[in-house]
Amino acid sequence: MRYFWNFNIVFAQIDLLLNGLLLGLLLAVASLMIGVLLGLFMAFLATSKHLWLRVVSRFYVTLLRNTPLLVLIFIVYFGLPDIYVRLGKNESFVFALSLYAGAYMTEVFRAGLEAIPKGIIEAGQAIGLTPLQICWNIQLPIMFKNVLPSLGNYLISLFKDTSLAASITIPELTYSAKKINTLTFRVFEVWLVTAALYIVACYLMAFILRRVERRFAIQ
Amino acid sequence: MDENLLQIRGLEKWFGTLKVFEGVDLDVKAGEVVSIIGASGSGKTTLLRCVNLLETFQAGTILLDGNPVGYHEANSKRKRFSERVIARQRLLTGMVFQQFNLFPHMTALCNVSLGLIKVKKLSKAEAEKEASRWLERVGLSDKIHSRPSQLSGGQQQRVAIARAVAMNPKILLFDEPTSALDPELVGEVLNVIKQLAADGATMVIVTHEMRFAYEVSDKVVFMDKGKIASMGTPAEIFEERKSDRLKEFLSTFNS
Repeated sequence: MRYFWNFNIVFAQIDLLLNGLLLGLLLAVASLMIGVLLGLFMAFLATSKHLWLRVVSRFYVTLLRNTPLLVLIFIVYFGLPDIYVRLGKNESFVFALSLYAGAYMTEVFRAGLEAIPKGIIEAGQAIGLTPLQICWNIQLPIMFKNVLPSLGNYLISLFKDTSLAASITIPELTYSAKKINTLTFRVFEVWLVTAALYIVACYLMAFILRRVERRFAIQ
Repeated sequence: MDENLLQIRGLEKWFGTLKVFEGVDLDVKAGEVVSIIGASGSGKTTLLRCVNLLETFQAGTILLDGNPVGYHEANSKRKRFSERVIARQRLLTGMVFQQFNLFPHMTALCNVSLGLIKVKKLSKAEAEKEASRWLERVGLSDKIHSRPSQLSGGQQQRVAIARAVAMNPKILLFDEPTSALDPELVGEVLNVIKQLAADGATMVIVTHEMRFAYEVSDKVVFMDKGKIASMGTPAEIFEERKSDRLKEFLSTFNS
């Protein structure tokens, strides 16, 4: 048995793949940004002294974290139009991925907030800062420094999750690869190149994030 | 009466069902230095934290400069002031913590100037000028751009003192300011506190440094099991040692 490799036929369509990669990156960054805001909000609820606010946060995390992402995408993309909420493909996907990311971010931020020694917050109170000023000037900066490594890891993981956008025909990398696959039937070549693109992109991201982390650590 | 900067009457506090104090009365006059001594668990730190409103208390009143802080009566019910009001009331006191509690993400200068900018609403330039003046006073003019992690414990505590006094509080509260320090660093912190006392600052100091309490205080308070067991001049407390309990406590220190 002999397999005749032919990568040229894949490389001929490389811009389709690269555009897909870029789209996936955009989807991940957009979802991360919304997810971070959502996660911050929910993390503050989770550390609130009011029980019912903690319950709201807990409920959100439990629900979203235990639903497979693909199911969530289908609920948003196929379900919402039935209740007259019409979103485009990309918007639907970002909506689903943000909700999902937000649940994980909630846990990351909650741990980051809880790791701040109570005395440091009391020191802020002692000089007369209001709760909002303490949050903004003390808790958020310390927390972000604490969680930067996990945040970076999560961005990479979100980027890989964008491959699920193929399931609702968003032309990101996986979808584009599938398309080239149907046109050329070079199964192995297409998917190997696709995997390589994911690996290189993730590796670069990790490299840049480590740089950023180090910068923040020195400051 | 009205010359009392701090007046505590009938203070009571519980943690759950555990009573921390009962019927604590204490007066501190302007310019006075009061030390609180006593065994661990006698309630001295909690008392100080009540004055700074970091702890709740269930009964009694605390008057700072003649005004009740922490709680007020509304429809004959005792209610805690809102967090914003409490934040303002805390400006009357400055607190120095056992564990320094500097903001780890900020330089010494920013630690001191943050409150001046955010609470006193000074411009950044004015605040930094004021902050560096105080850092100089505590002997750290060469460390103003250092972060807490680059400073020794004694230096960190001196930054924390500068942070508290820069806000110009009426009373300075020290919660065991040297207990977390290596022995060789205790002196530099105590000297700064002595200097502030000599300049006329009003202070309440919870401490285990008996010699220091003897030297610096106008009044010494001995707390035992949530009560003020003895109170008097340093000579009365350390030399006359009126009660058995006080004798027993002081005999554990070789002073």
